Amino acid sequence: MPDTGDPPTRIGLVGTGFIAEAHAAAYDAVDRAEVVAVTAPSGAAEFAAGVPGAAGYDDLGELLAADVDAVDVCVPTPAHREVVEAVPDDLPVLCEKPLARSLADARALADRERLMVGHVVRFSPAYRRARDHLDDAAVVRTRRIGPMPDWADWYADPSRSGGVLLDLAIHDFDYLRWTLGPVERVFVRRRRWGDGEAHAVTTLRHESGAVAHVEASWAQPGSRAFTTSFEAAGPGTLLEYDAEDPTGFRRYCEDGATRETPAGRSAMARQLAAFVDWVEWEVGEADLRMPRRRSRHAGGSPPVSGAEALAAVRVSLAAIESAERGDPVAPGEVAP
Amino acid sequence: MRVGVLSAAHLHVAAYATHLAAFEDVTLTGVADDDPDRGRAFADDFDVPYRDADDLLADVDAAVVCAANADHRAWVKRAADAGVDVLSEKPLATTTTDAVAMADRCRAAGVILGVAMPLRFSPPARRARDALADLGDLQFVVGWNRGSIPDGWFLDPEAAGGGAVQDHTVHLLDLVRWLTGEEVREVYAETATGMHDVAVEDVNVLSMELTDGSAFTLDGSWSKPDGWHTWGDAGAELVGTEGVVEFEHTAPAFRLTHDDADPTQQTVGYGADANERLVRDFVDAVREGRAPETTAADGVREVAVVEAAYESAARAEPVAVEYPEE
Repeated sequence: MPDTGDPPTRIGLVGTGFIAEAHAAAYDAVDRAEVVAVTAPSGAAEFAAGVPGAAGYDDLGELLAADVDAVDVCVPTPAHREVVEAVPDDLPVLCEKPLARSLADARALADRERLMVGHVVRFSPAYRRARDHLDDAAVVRTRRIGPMPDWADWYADPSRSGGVLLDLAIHDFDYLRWTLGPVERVFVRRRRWGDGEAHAVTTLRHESGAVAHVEASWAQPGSRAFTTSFEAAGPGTLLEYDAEDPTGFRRYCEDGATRETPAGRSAMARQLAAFVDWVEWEVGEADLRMPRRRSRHAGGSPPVSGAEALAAVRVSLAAIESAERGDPVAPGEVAP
Repeated sequence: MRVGVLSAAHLHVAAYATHLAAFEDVTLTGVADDDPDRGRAFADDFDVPYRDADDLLADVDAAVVCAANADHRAWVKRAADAGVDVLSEKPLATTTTDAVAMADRCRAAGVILGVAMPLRFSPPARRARDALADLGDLQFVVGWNRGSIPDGWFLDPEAAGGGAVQDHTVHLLDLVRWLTGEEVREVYAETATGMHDVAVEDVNVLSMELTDGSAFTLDGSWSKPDGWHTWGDAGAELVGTEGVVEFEHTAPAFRLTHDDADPTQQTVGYGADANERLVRDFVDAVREGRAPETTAADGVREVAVVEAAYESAARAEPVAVEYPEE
């Protein structure tokens, strides 16, 4: 987009963990935004030191006082509600997925008007382009597999992370809902062992009649890097996508091998750019001569709304219930 | 050894006949068929006599039944009555009742009954079997065996006993039973007719539990379009506490594009031919008087799982597999 001369959107980042680092790095590729403030219970100053132009704050109140235009919430799932609710209603928020750990928390957040939820797969070039070809999909297979996340200990505690069905499979649950429509029922086989290792396959039946099977794994050995794939078959049609094959870029050096398929800006950068576009709209058209200020003017709806994210959480919670009960479960059945 | 073909209904009959004809120690003696036109066409293609069934059975040591699924029982009975060892196409039968009757009849007659499961002879599958010891305790098997939709009797509920569930469950099921030594305890099925205008299901997604508590999911849909580059795929991911193995039977292949060919792009397999090894194993089993790789008992158990899958699909509930007593 051409540089309009508007001042960049000032982002306040909450959290300093793995995904906060990914967000901070991706904002580099978003011209019209900069991270100006970071907060976390500890380590904010150190984190901010690595983000040019950012200052660290001890708590959210101080961050908000730093006059940010939008808040990006990258804290562990159980803290999403508390943090988002502490942000004034009129300040746009990007909250990482899943929206919340419990249905009650997700419902509490879902009605927030100025909330976008970080279902980043919707911004993956491959997944986005695939939607052009999926109108009649009858049977769909998704895979999202990798080793157990080892950069934080809350993943291994299902009461905090929701396990592989809420934290990982939700990416595909959201994408499939967005693409194939509402889900009628889910049936899950899940196995868990060791220190949080888990492998699950969720079979979904959509109201349209389409059937999908979603594989989510935190059980791969460290030697198998995280990867995803996607296939969809319809009348006379088959679409096959595999992140691993073919690869557009490979690097082999003594320190290891890299295999990727660069496709322009990353999905994360595209997502953050969409957030910033929406923030600029939400806040109103910037006037070069006027200081930016928060506005109660209602702009367009967010790229991924709280309501959409709530629906995805329902599917995940239904999947968890199915895994535990051994029966099919409808998303609408999940008890608050 | 003299071997006959009983019915040329199944699309694999050509492969089996080709290999049998090429074995130096086998004479492909003839074909019998309840469809004379089909039988005669096959006889012409393979330059063997088209014969009356009883006449043929009196003249062979062994036979391969390539009939439609619902007709396996009648042909196998005729072979058993004639004292002829027999290899039946899969699934062994369309009902557990039929499958048990076939196994019992052959046992009583003292003849060998094998079931045609080529995947046990697949080099990638055998390599996976060898690697299982590295995986620790098996937790999960994710399997797939997709293909393009066949035609003719395969789409007739009476003759085939169903669609993709009937056609594309037992191959991977047999393989997983062979790899793990376990049985299916319970199956949950989601099926649909979503891709073709046919009277049977073409979507086959099964979610099962094995007797050791591990999970086993299978996509056996008829979901490859006619224009896809090969016949289908067959493989699995096996996840254990110490490691993961993944294999794909069709992988040993290269892509060939030829503007003058139809289709212009094809996939040419270069792996050891699993169908050839299957038929070879059957011939050797007959010669040595031993069980073939996939036995009647295997076939019966696999039919029981397919029956449970259909029940589950109808009820939208998981169903415990009922195995007949042996």
